[in-house]
Amino acid sequence: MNVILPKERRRTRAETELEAAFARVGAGLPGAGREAAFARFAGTGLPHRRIEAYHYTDLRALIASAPEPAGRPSLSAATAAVGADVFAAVGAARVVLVDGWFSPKLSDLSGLGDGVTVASICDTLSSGGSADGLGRLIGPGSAAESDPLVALASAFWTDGIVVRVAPGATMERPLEIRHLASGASVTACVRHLIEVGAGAKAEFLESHESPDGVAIHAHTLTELVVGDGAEATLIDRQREGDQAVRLSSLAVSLGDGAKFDHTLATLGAKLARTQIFATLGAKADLQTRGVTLAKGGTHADATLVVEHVGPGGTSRELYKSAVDDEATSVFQGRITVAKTAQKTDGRMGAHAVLLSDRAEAQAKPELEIFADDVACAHGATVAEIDDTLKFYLMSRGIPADETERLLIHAFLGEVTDAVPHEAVREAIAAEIDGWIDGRGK
Amino acid sequence: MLEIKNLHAEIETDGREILRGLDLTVKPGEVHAIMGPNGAGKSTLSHVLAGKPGYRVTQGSATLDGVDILEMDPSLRAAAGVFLAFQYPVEIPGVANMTFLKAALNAQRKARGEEEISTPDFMRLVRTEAGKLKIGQDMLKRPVNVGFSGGEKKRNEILQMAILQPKLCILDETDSGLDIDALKIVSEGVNALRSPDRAFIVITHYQRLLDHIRPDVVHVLAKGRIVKTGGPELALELEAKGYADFAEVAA
Repeated sequence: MNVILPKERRRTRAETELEAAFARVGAGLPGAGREAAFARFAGTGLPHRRIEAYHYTDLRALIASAPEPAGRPSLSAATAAVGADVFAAVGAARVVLVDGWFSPKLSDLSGLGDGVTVASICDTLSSGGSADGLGRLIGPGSAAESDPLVALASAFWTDGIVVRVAPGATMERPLEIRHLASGASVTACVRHLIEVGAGAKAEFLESHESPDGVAIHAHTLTELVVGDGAEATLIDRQREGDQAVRLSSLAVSLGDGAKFDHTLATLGAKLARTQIFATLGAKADLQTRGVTLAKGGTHADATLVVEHVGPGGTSRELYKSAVDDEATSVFQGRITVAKTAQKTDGRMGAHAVLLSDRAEAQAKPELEIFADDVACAHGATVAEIDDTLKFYLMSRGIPADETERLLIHAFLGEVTDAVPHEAVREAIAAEIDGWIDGRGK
Repeated sequence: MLEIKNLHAEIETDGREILRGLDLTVKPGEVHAIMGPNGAGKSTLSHVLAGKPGYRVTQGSATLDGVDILEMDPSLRAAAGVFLAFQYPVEIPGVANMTFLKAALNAQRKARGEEEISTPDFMRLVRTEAGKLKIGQDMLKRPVNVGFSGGEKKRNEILQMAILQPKLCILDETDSGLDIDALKIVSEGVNALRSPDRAFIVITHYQRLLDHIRPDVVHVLAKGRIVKTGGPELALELEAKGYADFAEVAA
């Protein structure tokens, strides 16, 4: 395959590596549209600060080099990658992917109930099965289409799963999708398609994990269709290692009267960017919340693009981050209310607490309203821990570090307390505690 | 118990001296009232003793049972037995009152090398003390002081005092913002805590509080020093005459 980046611009090392990698592996990858996707990526290359959506997360500067695409790990390597499951107490069914490759032997798809099917995309395509709908939410006219990371993942994905929940069906237990790493420094690209049929109910957990010291670049591209009147929840927990790059894109469409409850927990990675492209039909309800913990020299970005298309929709976005050392957190949120989306009720908040003088937080909430009868609001704050509160707690005998622990939990609590599922709430609270324990170390 | 000698303290940011050679001795079991005009340094004294950031001690000492407290961080002072009932208790969103009380009690016990309190014992203790102060379950479950009325905040201060059982209680204008009923409840709470091995410093502008919490000693603080010391009758005298005389003495 020969897709060449425009000549007029000097390519970075990472771009050259991606180009060479695509030339080598592209033709062997399943599915259609790979070349077009890579060409879309090549049109911009790695996005940089002069591209508005990447102004605060300059990938051309942050990504120095792109590791080799991951090959399918052996069963023993994949098995060795499976560590303790933080969501074990939830009792979910389980899909395991290692370095971007689905591992049926490590997965447990039992007990999901009638009307729920889960299959590898690769298997589905190679057995002549239908991957109908794949690419629809990121196609022409979608906000995701022009995004370079979406294009890159569309070009390089190796595997992923197709989940279909039949109309009216209810998943009998949640499905957890674990994205694990073998320990090789590779580029791992996963793509999922999830369809929750009209009136159906489904719950998903995602866990993205990799060990410290591994320079993995992990991409995940997910298309999620929540049908008319359907209800879906998705909890996306990211705990990558200190050298990992985590790049996630979720394109989600909410049908008329659909409900989608989404939680993002960004708990570690050298560089993380999670983008959510959501479109809402009539009377659809989107709740999305995020908690970001960043320390050391890490950079964590959560970017939302929410489009109210149908009338009477509701969206709530609440993102909070705790930033320590020289770390940076970025929040970008754009709510667009189309002319057709009268009576939209949207509210977005982004708040950061800086735990060190060198920590940085950027927040860019935006509203774009074309309808004339809506209730939309946004707010953003960046603050330090309040000394007055700290003194009050200390004056009652609570030592300085415990005081900060209480106040960090209290600050994030507005997000973490709203996470559905008690076992997940507890797991995330425990991870926040562990992160606080590790501060300054 | 508390021995303050020649204490000088200034505001850190602008170097303005507020306490100018203050001496005060408080013995176990005593209740000392400190009165004085606005700007005399009453609240500063309470802040400096509790370790509030923003003040610099330039001279003198303050010891609790012979131990210098001015070098300790606020949490260690609390564990050593200092308690400040705030004039304006702080609201702490996201931290439930119960969680806070338990964290404070256990932190102090830990600092003193004692065992943590068991949950049933803690619940019993809180229920008993909260009941005396007419503090309901709702106030205990809510975040610390959030949405509390002025009176509820002050009662919550006394509840903390009752649970933490400090040696030295400093009440900074606890009567401000209280109606008569709340004043009575708060005073009863304080009186119930009076004991031969506990001392109180009650900072107030008004005689009214001292009708409920009877002091053993009354001091007048003006321009950063104690300028007169007497018995309960001194408070009555101040109520009648005001502070004009003392402002001159200190000048």
